Parts: sequence; C-alpha cells; structure tokens
Amino acid sequence: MVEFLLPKNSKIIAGTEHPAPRDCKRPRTFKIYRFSPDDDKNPRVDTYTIDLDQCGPMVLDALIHIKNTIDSTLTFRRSCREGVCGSCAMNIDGTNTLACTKPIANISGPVKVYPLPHMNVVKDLVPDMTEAYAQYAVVEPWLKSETPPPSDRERLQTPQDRAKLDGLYECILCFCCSASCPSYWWNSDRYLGPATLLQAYRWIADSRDEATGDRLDALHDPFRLYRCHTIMNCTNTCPKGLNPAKAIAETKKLVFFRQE
Amino acid sequence: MNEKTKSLRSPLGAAKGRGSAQSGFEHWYIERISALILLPTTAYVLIGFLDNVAKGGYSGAIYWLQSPLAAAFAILFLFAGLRHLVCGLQVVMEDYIHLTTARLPLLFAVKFGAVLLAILGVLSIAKIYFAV
Amino acid sequence: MPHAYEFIDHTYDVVVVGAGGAGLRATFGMAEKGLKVACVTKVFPTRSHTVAAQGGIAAALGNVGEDDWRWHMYDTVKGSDWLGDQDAIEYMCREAIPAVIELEHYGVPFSRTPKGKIYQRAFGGMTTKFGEGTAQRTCAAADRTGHAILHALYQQALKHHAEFFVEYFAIDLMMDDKGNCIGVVALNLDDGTLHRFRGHQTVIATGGYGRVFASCTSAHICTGDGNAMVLRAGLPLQDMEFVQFHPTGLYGTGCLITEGARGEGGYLTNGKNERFMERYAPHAKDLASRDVVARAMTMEIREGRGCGNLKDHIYLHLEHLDPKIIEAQLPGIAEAARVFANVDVTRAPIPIVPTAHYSMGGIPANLHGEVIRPTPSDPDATVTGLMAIGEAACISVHGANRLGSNSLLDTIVFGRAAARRAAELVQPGTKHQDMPKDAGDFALARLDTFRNAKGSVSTSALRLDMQKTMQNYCAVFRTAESLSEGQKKMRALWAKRADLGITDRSLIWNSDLIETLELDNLLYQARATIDSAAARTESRGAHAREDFPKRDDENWLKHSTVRVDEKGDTQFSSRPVHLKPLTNDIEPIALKARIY
Repeated sequence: MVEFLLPKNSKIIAGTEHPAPRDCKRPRTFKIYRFSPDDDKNPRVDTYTIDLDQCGPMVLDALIHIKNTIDSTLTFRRSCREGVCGSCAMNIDGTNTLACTKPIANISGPVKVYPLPHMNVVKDLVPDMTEAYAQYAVVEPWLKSETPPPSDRERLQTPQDRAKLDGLYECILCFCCSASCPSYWWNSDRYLGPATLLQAYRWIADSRDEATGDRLDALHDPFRLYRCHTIMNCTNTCPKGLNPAKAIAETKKLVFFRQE
Repeated sequence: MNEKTKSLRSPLGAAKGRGSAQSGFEHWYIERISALILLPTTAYVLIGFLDNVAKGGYSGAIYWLQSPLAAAFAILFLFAGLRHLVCGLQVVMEDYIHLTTARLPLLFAVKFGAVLLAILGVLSIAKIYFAV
Repeated sequence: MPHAYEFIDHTYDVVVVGAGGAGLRATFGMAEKGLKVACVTKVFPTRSHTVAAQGGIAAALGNVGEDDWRWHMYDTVKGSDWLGDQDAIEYMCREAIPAVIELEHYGVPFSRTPKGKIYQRAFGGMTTKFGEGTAQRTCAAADRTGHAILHALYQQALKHHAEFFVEYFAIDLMMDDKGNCIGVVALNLDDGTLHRFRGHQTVIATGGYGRVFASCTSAHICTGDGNAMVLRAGLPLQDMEFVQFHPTGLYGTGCLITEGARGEGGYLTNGKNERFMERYAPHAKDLASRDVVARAMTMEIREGRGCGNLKDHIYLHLEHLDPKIIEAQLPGIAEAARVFANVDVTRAPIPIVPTAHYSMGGIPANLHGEVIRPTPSDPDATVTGLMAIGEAACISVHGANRLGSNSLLDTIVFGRAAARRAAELVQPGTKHQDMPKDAGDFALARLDTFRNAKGSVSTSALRLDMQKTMQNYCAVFRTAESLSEGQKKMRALWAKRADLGITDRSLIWNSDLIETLELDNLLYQARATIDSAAARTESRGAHAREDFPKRDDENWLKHSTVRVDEKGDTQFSSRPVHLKPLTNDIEPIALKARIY
C-alpha cells in the first residue's frame, strides 16, 4: 500500500558539534548530513562553525575547508569546481544545486547540506546514482541514422537547426532536477525523470537524427514520460539554467501531433 | 548498501523494466479535453441551475432541466466531470500506491463507480426531461 | 588493525584506466573491434576533466578559409619549440581531419557555419601558409567543446555496450618478472572491495597532474595517477619540466577562460590600459602561443604594470564584442565570469592571471600509444602490455609547449590509434598466462600503509605545502636559485610523506584515503617536474630559465626522461627527438628561431 513509515535506522539524529576556531572573524555554521555505511547507526547532522575568512566563497570551498582542517572523514564528490562536471550535486539550503557554484553569501542562517533527496546514500553526501545512469542509457542517447554519413565530410546542419539544441546539450547529468521532482521520488523505478527526458529530447530535436519516431515510441508510456505532472521543480532547480520541463512538454506535444 | 535490499538484477535491466506500454497519451489527452469541456459546462450548469432555483425553487430547477439545451449540458457536464475524476484519481493512485494488488482493485472500483454514477445521472436527467 | 584483503579477479583483452576523451575513445574503439574491454575510472565518465575543455579541437578542415594539414603541422612543430616528434605530429595533424569528421558523425553538436559545416575559430599559434596568415582551424561547439565531445564519446561507449567500472580507483599496475604489464589493481569505492584487472594491454588514460600547483585550471581529480603508477613500476616519464601556464585563468579561483575568447576578438591590457602583447608578439599579438603570452603577462605584472589594487593580474576585454557573439560562441565563460568574478563580460573586463594548465610531459609513448622504455641500444623500445594516451602520455606531439585546441585533438587521435593498435596486437579471447602469486601485493601494501597511517602530518597540509612550493619555485619563470631552493623544500616534503596520518580507516568511499593516495602520486610527479626543470639548462617553450634565456639546440634538442625511485630520488636520461616526419609528403620542419 502507500508507505507511511520510514525504514529502520533512517531517522536523522543530532551529531557532533564543532565549535568556531579561536580568533574567528567571520563565523558561519554548516549543518551537514553524515552517514556511515560501516555501522548500523542512524544518519546524523554534524555542526561545523568555520571562519569564512579562511575559505573561498562557495559552499564547496567550505566543505573542502572542513575536510582539510576539521574532519577529514567528511565525504563528498567533487571534481571541476567550476560547474561543468556535475559531481558535487547536493541539497543545499533546501535546494538541489552544485556546491561549487552556490555562493555561501546567498544563504541566510546556518547552511544546511544534505545529499540529493530520495536517492540511496552510500556515505555522507555521496548518493548512489546507478539507477539514474541506467535510465540515461535506456533512452539510447546517441545519434541514430540509417542514411550513411557522407564519407569524407561532416553531416550538414543549418545554424538554425543547431540552435534547437541550445539549452539541451549543455546538461551535465548532475541529476539535481530528477532528485527535485516529487513524481520521480515516488516512481523513480518507472518514471525516467526530467534529466533523462531532457537528454531524450536532445536527440529528438537534433535534425541529424533519424529515429524520432522510435524515440517517441520508447517514451510513450504512462510512467516513463507521462508521470511528469508539470510540477516544474526541475526547471526551478537546474544549476545550469536549463528547462527540462519545457523539453518534456515539447515531447508530449510531438506525441500529440503525430496522432492528431 | 544494505545487502538485503540490493537487487542482483542489472541496473539497465531494471531501468528498462517491461518496456514502453505505447500508451499514456490518451489518458493525458482526455484529462485535458475533459477539463476544457468542464470549463463552459460547469459555468452553464451552475449558473442555469442556481438562477432557476433562485427564481422558482424546486420546480424552477425541474423546469430548467426540461429544456433540451440544459439537459444536454447537464449530461455533458456529468460525463466530462466523471471522466476527469477517474483520470485524476488514477494518477493519484499510480503515483502513491505501489502495490499492484492494492492499486488495481481500487482503480476498478473507481471506474465501476463512475460508470454507475454516469448511468444513474443520465437516467435521472432523462426521467426529469421526459416527465412532462 | 590487520585486515584480510581479498581480490576479485577480472579477465579482459584490454583494460583502460581513465574515462576522459582519450580513455573513452580508446574504450569504445576497442569494443567496436570485438575486443573485451574494461574501462576503470575513478569518476563517472562525464565528470572527467575533458568536460572542462572550452575552445575547441583543431583540424585543417578548411571550413572557414583555406587550410592544409601541413600548415597545422608546421604550427604544431613551431609551437613545440621543435621538441615535438615530427612523425607523431604529422600523424596527428593528418588524422585530425577524419577523426573530427568522425566526431561529428557520432553526433557532437558542433556550432555551424551559415553553409551548415562545422564552425571553426582562430586560436593562438594557428596560422596559414607556414606562419603567414591567421588560420581558423579550431572546430568548436560554442565554448563547451570538451563537454560536447566527452558526452558524445560516452554515448558512443553506451552504444557499443562498453563495460565500465565506475568509481574504481586504480592503485598500481601489475608487472610480471619480465617487466611486462599484465593489468592493474583497483579499489571499488562503492563497497570497498579490491579488484585485479588482467589485460593483454593496459591503457593508461589518466590525464594530467595539474594539482601539483597551488593555482591551476585543473579539476581536483587531476592528480596524474597513471604517471605515478608508471614511475612506481620503474618506468620513466618524459619532458616533465614542460608545464603549460594558461594565460587566462580566472584571477582567484583559476577557472579556465578559453583562448577562444581571444580567438573571437578579445584582447589583453595591463594596468596602464596598454595592449602590451603588441610589444611582445608584434605579428600574432594576443593570439601568440600560450607560453609567449603567459610570460609577457608575468613580465608586465612583475614590472608593476598589473591591474587591480595589488597590481597582480591582467584584464581580458570582451566588452567591445557584439553581445550576440558572446551569447552564441562564449556563453560558458560569460557564466563563469559572472559566477566566480562577478563580472558582466559585456560591460567590464575579466581579471585573469597565468595559471597552471597542461603537462606536455608524461609517459613516453609512440604514435600507436605503446609505452616506451628506452634502452641504450633502442631509444624507442616498447613495454609489452602497456599503452598510454591523452595528457598522461608524452607521444610527444606538444614538445615544449602545446597549442590551444591540440589537446582535445591529441586525446581523440591517439585514443583512436590505441584502439587500432590494440586490435592488431590482441586476438580477442586470447588466454592469459597464470597470474603471478604476488600479483597485486605491491598495490595492497601501499594501500594498507596509507590506510593505517597514523603520523602527525595531515594529507591536506602536506598537499598545500607541495602546491605552494611548486607554485613559488617552479612556475612561469625559473632560475637555478629558485629551483634548487624548491628542490630542497620538495625533499623535505617527501620526507614528511612517512609521517602522514589519516583519520578515516574505512574502505567504503574513504575519500581521506583516496586523497592521500592521490597526494602520494602528486609528490612523485612534483619531484620529477622540479628536478627535470633544474636539469634542463636552456629555455624552450614553456620552460623559461632566466639564467639560460636562449634555446640550446646543440645540447638540449632531446627529450629528457626521468625515473623517480621509492626514496624520491631522480635519475635522468634522454631520448633523441624525431626530427623526420612520418612520410615524404612534407619536408622536415627545419629548426629556426621562434618568433610570433
């Protein structure tokens, strides 16, 4: 039936408090979700107060500062630190975003940092993304054409047709959007989620691709595509300013126009 | 991850699931079309009904429903409303009830109820309409 | 805490370590040819640093004006300050054309010319007719070319059902008693299990080691793990003194601002609002080679003509450009400047500073990607079972200095070449010899040592010291004095390695341990880099010695190779530069002074 109860050991408890260092000029408190896979303990929220004068302006800078100087067991993914790789997607101040491009100054009160919601947590701020990656593969995100490409030159595409891919190909697969979508929370096993649907539409919109019909067939499902209820959290949360909701709406429109 | 909850099925196999059902458009379309139909019919039925009740009470309402236009609108309103209701409830159930053995009987009950209400409604309107 | 480690064994035809541009291109190229290939990567493929490449990929397609691969080759040889191997460069520049066309066929969303062809822009050091005009040779997908290419490559890998081991951290190579490579040992971060991957070929595509510097454009993951694994296997690295400083790293964070910004018409000014590049490179100006521009900027700052209150940076101007061009061709850097420097590029200049960006050096390899272990009789002798491609390798197509947009090209062309070579060398399904009894023990010992390290020095503190030392003593300009001071400090830091201590003793996603293993890798490469820089007493390309300001072809027209032993000590040797092209289609590019 409907699940009303939380699984065992999932209630979040208060954790360790790490007070501000001495001579702290600009203190700021971070409340960070911690979970260890190595024991049966409940997840907890540790509190760290750090001096902002000692670290960079972004939330990722603070996490690194905490890991470097207070608690080296704190675990999170990070790579490019400039918002292009999608590693450090997490829930900060109640919103899914990239820690590396989220300025601490834009947050009021203690900075709350949690892993992406409704994903299995491996450790601390590291969620298990296996399901999301597999869903990405389901939409067969590669160019499909039966017409062989010209042998010694590129396929041609007008600048106007190429412009249709703007706002789609830039997706960095951080899955902030999917993890913000209530419909995805409840049905991630069957609903593909906004990130994957945006990627599916990226190929539908590509003038070089010849599999539009097959792609629409594959999406035409009460769960895969139509579980989108236009809640728009995806578009609101996308750290790259993309609009997955629009891509989904365009896909639905295409399904409509091929019938009517 | 917990050994007990970790499936041994491949992630891709799980994600592909049973494939695409090749449906869903109709549900989405009917939900929207029924909503569109409900806009004018609700207004017409509500205003007509209340206006006539205010003017003539019970017999006013009966009188109103005996006009062909009002009866037609009332039936349309009834059908669109029930269809929209079924669509909406189906979505809610699919969203939140993951146990198929619970969801399917409930869904059947809702659809059965809606058909029953539709028949009852049409008969009632017909009874008034033809009761000259 | 004695812990019984157990290995899970995997047998493949080929194992690729790394899933950036080169690793992915090699992986699916091999899968396509019927080889059973495993790609082991410490991050999900699209998180690799190739994703941050902005400007583009060079290929003489001639879509925007006349072009010829020979001109591209000339530019690359000149850019390399003649240290690049001309046979490999010829191969790369010729193969650039089919390789980039292939990328388009894979679905890379390149920007387009009005006629619908791949859009090409100007880039530093890229000329026509052997240095006469400016070439528009750099194929671009706006300013997100690396992102566009990396995602397309991963998509192709999915299409070919390539097998990935994501978030597996490679610890060390497995070598047999004949000195052949037989595979690699890796730790699965997700569940803490240890794995031995057997392969008839092991391909190292682990990228650069930019994180040895305090200020770099590289991602946190750029720790050159493959380079260090090779050193620990007793093999040499090559040309490690050549580290490219990118002229336009964002002041403060070091985030990359593409050279394409200058390619689209941007220019640099100093604190006196002068376009100083006119003095240093009268012909190419702001589009001179990267080493030239980085040195010019450093000179300006040093002589008190920097910008800002501290006079410690330079301005990059884009505000004169049509906002439509910025929106269409440079949207990514407009975003980066807004987020990280609070600058609206249509109104104000971007504060920038030369920032460590790319390592020309790396694992010596031939143009098929096979790793070279030079012997006195054969400087080009190869190691059986080991290949290296991408930034990790030194093939050497970049010589002493890489031209912008040649690195994406390097990854694609040689990833492709490695796939072809592996298909020639390995018959699919060939049986492996029995695994030596002690296979993987070396890696295990190293893992266990750091996992139980209880010393007093934290990983982050030692890392910061190393980064500052390299930044202060081994950056754009070098002298014997600065280098020997730096070497002294690096030796002291190496000694502290024995006193490292970590606090996380777990195995599942133990990022404390991983960062420590990465730091260890960086330390090996820092020693190799600073010692190589001290050894080379000339100035060539990115290696600028103030005490030896001239290029010395008589003594130094050679690749330096360096080994680092377990004590951190370095031994040097050298290999001749291949001055002859691969075919007779072009004359060797003769040595001459390098002026832009």
